[in-house]
Amino acid sequence: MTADVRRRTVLTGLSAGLGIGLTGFSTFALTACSPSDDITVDAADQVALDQVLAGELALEEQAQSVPGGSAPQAEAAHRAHADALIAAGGLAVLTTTSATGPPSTSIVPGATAASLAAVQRRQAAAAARLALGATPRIARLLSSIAASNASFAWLIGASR
Amino acid sequence: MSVDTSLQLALAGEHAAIYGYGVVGARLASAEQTRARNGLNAHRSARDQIERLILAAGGAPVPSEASYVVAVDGVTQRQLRAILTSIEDRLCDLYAALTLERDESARAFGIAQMQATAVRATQWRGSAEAFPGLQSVPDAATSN
Repeated sequence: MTADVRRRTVLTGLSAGLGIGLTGFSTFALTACSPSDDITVDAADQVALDQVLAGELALEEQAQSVPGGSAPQAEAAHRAHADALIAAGGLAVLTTTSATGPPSTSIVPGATAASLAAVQRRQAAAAARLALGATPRIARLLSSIAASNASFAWLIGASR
Repeated sequence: MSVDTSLQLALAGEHAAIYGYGVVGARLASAEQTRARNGLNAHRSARDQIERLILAAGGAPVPSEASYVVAVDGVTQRQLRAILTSIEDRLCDLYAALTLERDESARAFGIAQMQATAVRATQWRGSAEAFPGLQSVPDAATSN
């Protein structure tokens, strides 16, 4: 089964959406940039790409709030993961907890290297699980992202 | 590439890794020999699992070569770690090919081994990579 995914805006829309803080919406979906106007993405792939993308965006923000060590490298890697997922058809969907609450991907106050590593391990497990049911090219991408997250979790955990 | 071919390539890689870990591990400083021993055991376990997968599919596991070329004469400790890093990186590439398979057990094994090899490469390298097992990001995103 496939689902046609039409993308209407470019990356500037994503930046603008983040910039305004997404207040006033219970949910706010952002269409992602794509080199083409129409991409056909398998329905199971779409779910997997979207879920992993949401996790990577959250990890990128969390890594920003962890000082020093390997966190800057992790932040860059999570950003690269997100870019690759968007290029493969992933859609960034940011959800607020209430009309005035923060997005679920906002920076967690007091985030530590230990908490970052723990979330990276969970993200690795999730990406690996979703790779099992994906089409081959998406499975390979998700598997690589899972391996990267497991590696950063070890690195950040080891450097504490 | 058939699943048997992908598994046989991974098995050949594990044979070489086991040999390489033995040669390099013996030359590492004592502080790193435990890590090398753990890596060696992990590769032996992976080899045995691949052989079972191949046998279950009716294939014949490719045997190990009698010896492999591992250039260790006069190399530094850092270079020894680099050899082990390259062994893990190469294996991660081979396991990435398994994630393209539709056979569930082969794909699951490939996914798990990509993580294991990437983590060991990180341990030897001292840094992590954004896309282990992929030759390039555009290839991962656009080709099948």
